[in-house]
Amino acid sequence: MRTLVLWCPDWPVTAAGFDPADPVAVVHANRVVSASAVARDAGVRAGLRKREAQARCPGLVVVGEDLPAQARAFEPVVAAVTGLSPRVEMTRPGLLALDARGPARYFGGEEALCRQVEAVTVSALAGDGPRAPLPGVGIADGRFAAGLAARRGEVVPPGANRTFLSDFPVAALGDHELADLLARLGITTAGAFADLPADSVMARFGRQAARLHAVARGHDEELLEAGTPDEELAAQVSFDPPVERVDQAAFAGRAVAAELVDQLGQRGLVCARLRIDIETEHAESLVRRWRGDEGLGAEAMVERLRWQFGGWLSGTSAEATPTGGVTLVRLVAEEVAGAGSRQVGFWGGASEADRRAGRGLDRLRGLLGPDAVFTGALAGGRGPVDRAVRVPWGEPAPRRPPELPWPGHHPLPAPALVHPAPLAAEVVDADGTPVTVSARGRTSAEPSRLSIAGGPWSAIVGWAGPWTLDERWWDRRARRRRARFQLADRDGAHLCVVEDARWWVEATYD
Amino acid sequence: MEDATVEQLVPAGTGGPLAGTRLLPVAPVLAPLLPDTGLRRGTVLSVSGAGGATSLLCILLAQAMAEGSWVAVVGLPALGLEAAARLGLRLDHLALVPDPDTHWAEVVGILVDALDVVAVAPGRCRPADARRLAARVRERGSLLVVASPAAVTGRSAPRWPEPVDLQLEVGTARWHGLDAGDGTLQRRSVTVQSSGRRAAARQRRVRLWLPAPDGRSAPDDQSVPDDGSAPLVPAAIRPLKAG
Repeated sequence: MRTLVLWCPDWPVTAAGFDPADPVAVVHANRVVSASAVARDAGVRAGLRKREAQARCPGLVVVGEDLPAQARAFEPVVAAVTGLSPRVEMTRPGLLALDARGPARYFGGEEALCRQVEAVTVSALAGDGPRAPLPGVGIADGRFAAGLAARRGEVVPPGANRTFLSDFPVAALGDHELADLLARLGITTAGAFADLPADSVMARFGRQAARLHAVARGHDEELLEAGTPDEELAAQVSFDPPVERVDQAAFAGRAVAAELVDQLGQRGLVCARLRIDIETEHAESLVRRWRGDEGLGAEAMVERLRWQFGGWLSGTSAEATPTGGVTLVRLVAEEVAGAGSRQVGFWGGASEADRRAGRGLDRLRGLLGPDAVFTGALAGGRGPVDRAVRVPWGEPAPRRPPELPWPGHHPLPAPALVHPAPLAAEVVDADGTPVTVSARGRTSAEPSRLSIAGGPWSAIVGWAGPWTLDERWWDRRARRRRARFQLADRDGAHLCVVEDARWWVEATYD
Repeated sequence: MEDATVEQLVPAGTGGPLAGTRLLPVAPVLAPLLPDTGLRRGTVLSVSGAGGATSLLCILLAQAMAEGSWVAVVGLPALGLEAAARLGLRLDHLALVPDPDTHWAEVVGILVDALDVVAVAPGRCRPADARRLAARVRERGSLLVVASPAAVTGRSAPRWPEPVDLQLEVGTARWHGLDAGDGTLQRRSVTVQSSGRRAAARQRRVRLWLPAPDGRSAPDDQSVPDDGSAPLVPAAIRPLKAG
């Protein structure tokens, strides 16, 4: 889909009220997030620690990051561009995207559209504020390529994504660890990365890298993952009396956002694009669309609600400030993506902890192979081995629902140690004769002593059973008759099974 | 979406709610064992005992998982996932590497960098590796737990080559509910003792049900009326030693 991206360089610096000619760095958590052009010339880069940045650029002005203020300051630009095309979406303050097809036809071509957007943005940014650097506008097939095109101010012809991306460094794809790894293998450009065979990339580097590989090959990033839901997924809250303050709206917004995330979660989806509608008692409304590539969690949705409402109230928007209190807040999940192995916590999208863990596990998978790293999932089953399974990292969970009735399943509590291979054991009665279970389920004698895997004999102080299990009784060859016992000695308790007069320890209640 | 030379916006709220805290949350039933109100980031713990060590490991980590931390378990192929889930671990935030093979040190290193908590079985670790890991854990603010599950086959588990910051050991463990041929395992009364270095040097002891009849843990204050099920080893219960 032909997408236009507008990129305002160094937006955090501009929003903080500084000129590109001032040496300024915007800092968050002691690290540089953004720097003005002059600071960059002096060597200040994103990711540097504050001290290091100050060392490279004496006279550097350091400012803390203020996302709500950045969003508020960006509102006039958003409003101006919305005047050209209603379907504008924001990824973060300073970066917005829109579907270029309709407006391009209206304005007589994509180049013309780019110039329009640029003009409108520059005039929205002009005023008594600081001089902002010139915005970049680009068009390509898909948001990711269009974003890079915006940095160069290019219009990439349809279908030419792969060629356009080929001489960007791999790090431009967004994953620096992957870029480091590929650099060590001698792959430095996105084009070289795209030339690798797809299944090798998936097997060696994992799912996330496979996604980036598809992007490097020019496939529209959006088509890979997100789509419009079949039914409307929305949640709203009405205020009576109307609320006038951002924090009041945000407080109620949390419940709404949690409800929406819950609706999505039940369908196994995450929100990729959110529409927030705010209406006042005087029938004024402000509608904005927010994009969240990793999925927007409830906290992220509330954050954007704050930005939107705050921007409207502060009057930086071209639309008149609202004259009444807010009566309705509505959140609509306009685009959704399958949740897959992404986790959307309450605290913003897939949290940074989830992403960091995911990247670490992908690295492990690359190191050890796909059969060595797992997560867990509950499944249905009768025995301790079946009731929870290991799922290879990156694969979907299996589909044996645990809530269905599984007759014959062993009773709670669940044993904490389930031996990968059952341990051979011997169980004898007081006379030393092995204990057996008849076909009718009667124990031959009371179990008295136990020896596991040829180890020392221990006295059994408590036992229960048999729990008989007769599987596939209709199939003479596949028939299995087993009986389970709980046997306890001084050191602990075990779940044992006897089959054909041979005893095994399946699990230990550690 | 940014390229390498352009600003890289660090999202606000990086790391989720537990990033930057000095302590990881722990279940209230274990709190009396610790010198702080939680588990200190950047330390090495050990969990051991004749019976109940694996369950203790699970409840030790459950609260941190509930609040968003990821946990990795390396070299414990026998970990019972159903039991772990019932004791409170989130299976979808659990990373399992049952057999790290010859890459043990590298695997644990990668996990210490990426996750909040890494539980390992002792035995694959040389003293130099253990010291390096302890330093890396301290720098990263992760938690390393050396878990020694019950030695079912009679061979005792190898020990961790370096001293640890906090040691949790299961002392006595008594199951209730089994009779001679009757009943079923219902609950287990367990005493857990803690000791360690520096702030944790004072020995502390706590008594709890692990598991309680519902599969989770519960404090054992002994004022709860017994349901009549006798403990399995009817020896006289030794009184708790002070301190």
